[in-house]
Amino acid sequence: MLNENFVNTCVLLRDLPELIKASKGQRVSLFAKTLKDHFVYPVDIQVLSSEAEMIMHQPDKDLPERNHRTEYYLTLLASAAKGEVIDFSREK
Amino acid sequence: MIDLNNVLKNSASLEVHAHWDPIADATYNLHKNSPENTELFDLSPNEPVREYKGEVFNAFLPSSSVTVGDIWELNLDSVIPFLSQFHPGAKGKLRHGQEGAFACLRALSPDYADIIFRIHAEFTLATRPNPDWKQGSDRRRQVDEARFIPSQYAGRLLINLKTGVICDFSLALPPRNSNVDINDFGYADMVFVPRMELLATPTQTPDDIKWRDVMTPEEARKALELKLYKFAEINWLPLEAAVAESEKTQRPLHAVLTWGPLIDESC
Repeated sequence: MLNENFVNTCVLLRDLPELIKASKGQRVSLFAKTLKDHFVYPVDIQVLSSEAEMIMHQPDKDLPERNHRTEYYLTLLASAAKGEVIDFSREK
Repeated sequence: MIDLNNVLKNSASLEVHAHWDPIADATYNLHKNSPENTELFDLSPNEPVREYKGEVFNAFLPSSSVTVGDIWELNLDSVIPFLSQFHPGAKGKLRHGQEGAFACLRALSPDYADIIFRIHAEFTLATRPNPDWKQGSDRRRQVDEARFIPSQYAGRLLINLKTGVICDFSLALPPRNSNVDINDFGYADMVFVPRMELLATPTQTPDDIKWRDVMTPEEARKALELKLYKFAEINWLPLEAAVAESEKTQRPLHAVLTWGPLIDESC
């Protein structure tokens, strides 16, 4: 599902300030700033539109316990792939 | 196909040098936030030079015949002793994460075999009784540990098949900007160690081997990565490339934000 429906990236937090600098390009800067502004400690998952708008935000710490994690995550991704906006980061 | 079982039977001893740079950068500077930690994380090789018998390098060879691209699992009991040259607290049993060590036959010629390998390991630097531990609670928490958890060790073994000479042996922590997780009795930090490497004294490494079958080092490293992590099947791009790809394809960007690289053990 991830390779077909999304473009995938893993970003190190320590790299974000450099990525936000315009020297990396305006679009990269916009995406990096959105990721940084929404980041929830310690590991965070975000799905952004190709215009850097938040579609899905799921802090890792708020994922359900191990047995239900995969199923839950797949449901979130399926919705995000359809462009449905989901943000569970402020529910807990 | 090649059977490497007896290739090292007459192999000479090899001198291996250990290099271990100090921590050069950190997120929280945990390694120097107290005199105790400054001492704890002032790390250098346990044995700067160690002589190994040729036969101990059998630890990196497959037990059955292989062809280029084949991957085999390494016995941690045989490879961890190499890491004790850095520190006696080396172990393959990880507290968290993906354990294991694998090797891949990257290239083969009538005269040479080139093997690359990847090891996941950590080091217990010190232990102490956990002051909060109570009878009946998780036994793993009975002892607090200070640990040094490298992202991985990437290695290479180049053998002359005709003579049994080990032409090249190296094992190194990849020098990325966040490549070690350190843990001080419950507190953690991501740090950068520029160099942590075991390197054999150079021998007769030929400059231009005519390989009969070969894969690139990148392909071999990717094959090892896939053996350790199912999620390595995902096509992860650097953010700059991912933003460009998202614009081109209009697919949404799925981003995972972490303190350390996702596809190794320092995360």
